[in-house]
Amino acid sequence: MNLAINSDNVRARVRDLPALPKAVHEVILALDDEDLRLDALAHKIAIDPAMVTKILRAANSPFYGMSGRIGSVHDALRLIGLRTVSALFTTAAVMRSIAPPSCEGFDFQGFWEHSLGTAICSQELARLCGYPQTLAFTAGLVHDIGRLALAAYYPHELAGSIAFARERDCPQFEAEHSVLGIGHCEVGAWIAAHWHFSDKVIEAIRQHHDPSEAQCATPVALADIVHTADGIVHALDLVHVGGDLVPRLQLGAWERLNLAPESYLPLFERTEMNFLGLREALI
Amino acid sequence: MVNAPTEHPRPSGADAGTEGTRVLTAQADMRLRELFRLWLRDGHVHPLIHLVKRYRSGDRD
Repeated sequence: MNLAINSDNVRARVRDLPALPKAVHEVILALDDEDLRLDALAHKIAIDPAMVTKILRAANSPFYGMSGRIGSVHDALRLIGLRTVSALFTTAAVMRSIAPPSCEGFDFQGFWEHSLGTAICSQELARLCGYPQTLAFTAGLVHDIGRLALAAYYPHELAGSIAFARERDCPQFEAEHSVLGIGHCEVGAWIAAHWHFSDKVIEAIRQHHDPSEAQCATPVALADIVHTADGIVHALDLVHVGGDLVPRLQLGAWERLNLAPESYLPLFERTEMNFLGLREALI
Repeated sequence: MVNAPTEHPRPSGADAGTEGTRVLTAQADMRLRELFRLWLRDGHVHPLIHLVKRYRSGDRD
C-alpha cells in the first residue's frame, strides 16, 4: 500500500495552522530584555486566564513546597523564576496549537512529555555550554512538532510508518522517510517558520537527527543541543513508552558540547527533577 | 574500534543496555570521555545508557 505524502499538500496544511498567540513571542523576547520587570511580564501573562491557571497550579505544586499559598502570577514569578514561568507559558501555548489526533500507535500525552523533557534537558545543556537557555528550551519543546502534525493530518499514513518502524526495529524518522517520503523534521521546520520562530530554532528542528549539517557561526549549534537532549531523554526513559528506541548520538554533536564528565550525572538529575515538577502542572 | 553491540538499544530493556554496561565495565580503566568518543565514533549510544544506569543506581563517582 502506498502511503507516500505529497509535500506540497503538507505545506498547504501548515499554512492553514492557526498562528501562535502574540503573547508567546512577546514573553520569549521579553526574557532577553535585561531591563525586564516582573510586573511587565506578569501583565503579559495575565491576559490569558488558562495560562494563569496553569502557572498557579505549577507554583502551588508540591515540587515548590508552597501548596496553596501562591495566588498571583507576580508571586509565581518571584517563586519559580522568570525562565520557568516563561517555559510554562510557552509550553501551554504550543500544546494548545494542535488538537489530540486519533492515530494508531501515536501517544499524545507521551509526545508532550517527551517534548517537555527534551526542552528541559536542552535548557540544562545550554546552561552548561553557555548557550542562550530560553532558545534551547523553545527548540527542545517544538523539536518533534512535525510528528504531531503528521499524526493530526495524516493519521493513516503515520500509523503505517509507526507499524513499519516496529516491524523493522528502526528509528521513527527513518521509517517516515521510507513510508511517507517525508519526515517530521522537515514538517516541523515548516511549522516553526509559519509560527515565526527564529532561524536557529527552525534549523534545530530540521537538523535534530543530523546536526552535522547544521549551519552555525558558534562552536555549538542549537541542533547539537537538541539532538543530544533528545538522546538523553530517551535514555532516561522519562516517558515510559513501550518499544522506545534511543536514537543514535552523533560524535560531532557530543564533542562540540564538550561537557565535563563530572557534569553528566548532575545533568540527568536536574533534567529529571525539573521534568517531574513541570509535568505535574502541564500535562 | 571499540567493540559494542550494534542492535538498536532500548532505554529500559535488559538486552542492549546490559550488554553495553558489561563491555564498558571491562574497559573501566579507559577515561569516560575517551570511551564516549570511541563508541560514538563507531555509531553506538550505549555509553549514554550506561551512564543512565549509573545514575539510577546512585553511583555518582
